[in-house]
Amino acid sequence: MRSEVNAVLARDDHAREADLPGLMVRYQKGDPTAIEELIARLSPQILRFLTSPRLSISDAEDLLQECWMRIHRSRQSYRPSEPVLPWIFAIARHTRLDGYRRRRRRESVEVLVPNVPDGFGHSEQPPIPEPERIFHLLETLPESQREVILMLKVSGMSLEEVARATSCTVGAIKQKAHRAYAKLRLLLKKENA
Amino acid sequence: MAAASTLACKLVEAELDRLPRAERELSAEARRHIQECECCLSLYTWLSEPDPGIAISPQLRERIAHALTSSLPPISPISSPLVRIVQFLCAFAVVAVAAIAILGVPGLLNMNVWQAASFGAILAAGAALLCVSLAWQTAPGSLQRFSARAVIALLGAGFLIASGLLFEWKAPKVFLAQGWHCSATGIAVAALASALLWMLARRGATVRPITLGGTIGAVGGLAGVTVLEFACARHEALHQAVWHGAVLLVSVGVGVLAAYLLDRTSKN
Repeated sequence: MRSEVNAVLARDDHAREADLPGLMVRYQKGDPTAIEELIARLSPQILRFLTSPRLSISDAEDLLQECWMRIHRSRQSYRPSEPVLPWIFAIARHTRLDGYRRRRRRESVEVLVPNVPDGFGHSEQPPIPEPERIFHLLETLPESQREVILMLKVSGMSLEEVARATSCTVGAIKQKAHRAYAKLRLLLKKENA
Repeated sequence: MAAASTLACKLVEAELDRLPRAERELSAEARRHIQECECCLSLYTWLSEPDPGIAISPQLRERIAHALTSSLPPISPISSPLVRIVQFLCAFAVVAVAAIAILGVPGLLNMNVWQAASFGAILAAGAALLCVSLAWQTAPGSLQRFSARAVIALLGAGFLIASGLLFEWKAPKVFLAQGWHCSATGIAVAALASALLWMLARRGATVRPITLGGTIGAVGGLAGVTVLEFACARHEALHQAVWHGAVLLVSVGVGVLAAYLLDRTSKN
């Protein structure tokens, strides 16, 4: 049963990565349908990577637009012989980091309200759906570990591809992933207890 | 029991590392473990299932597509990494050779074989490694097998150690006046080489502008130091370490600062 599931997952992942280099080449040649297809296929993954519970959906969508603009300006730096996803996620990571820094600067100048007005923060939080539970646990990890796990999960890239996207060595990525797994296991154990 | 469990958990992690999701299939041992360990099962299931992402609205998709297709001239991709490495090395060599041709080679003529070989090896290895790093840095998604920062640190340390070990320790007569002249010449060469390297690097794209600025500065600084080793006949350890070393230091610092400022300006 599990091998059947694995086979389905394998087909799905191959289908996702297949033809991306072809689309990139057409995009570089100026074909508008290629960029439209790339946007349709990759935006959900990029948006998932860019989003975080501390970020509103409109802010995340702004980051997504900015990310595509940067991809557009950098499109000459993609070489057809290279994998597409590490190239895309390297740019997405840079956009995410810049967005995070901008948000921190903005938050540092915002004035805190001493008393919370009535009606705020008293509503009951809806329960977090099961697939989202680990995404929420990721928020407790250090940024460097979180982005590695997010890339592994969201894009389905291998460790080497994540190393490419983060400009790190494979060994460093492996170490970050293992530390994150250990922390996530601990958090899951606490939640389950 | 707890130790055995941790060991088995590590086994699942190791298998997760080994393969991309597309080929991921657990061994019998790991499969047995995840049936017993709820945390590993949750983690493995979560990582193995493809994530559909967050759906975006058709309006947002159209807005992005419209912004990109409004200016879509055909472009050609950047050259291969090997060609880019050769281009960076050529920029380094052209500036260094031109400056040496103008300033002469009295420094080289006064060196012994050990001094020439050691400094030649340090400068050549530094330039080659940093040009390789530049080629990787200008193409996002390249696998970087070593860190440019580590190479710059090693290069600086190697230069200082070689200066201390291979040259005489004697007090220079006019330390400041002669030294300042050397540094100014080196920095001028470094600025020229860095400008040329920056023009070449602009053809690609970078996701780490400050590291790129530092690396360009380091290669430019190396060109300056190379010229000084050929042209400067003052072979005293202190002069080499302070005034020649300063060229590398200043060049890296200016490169980092310029990259930071350019990055800030482009984002505001």
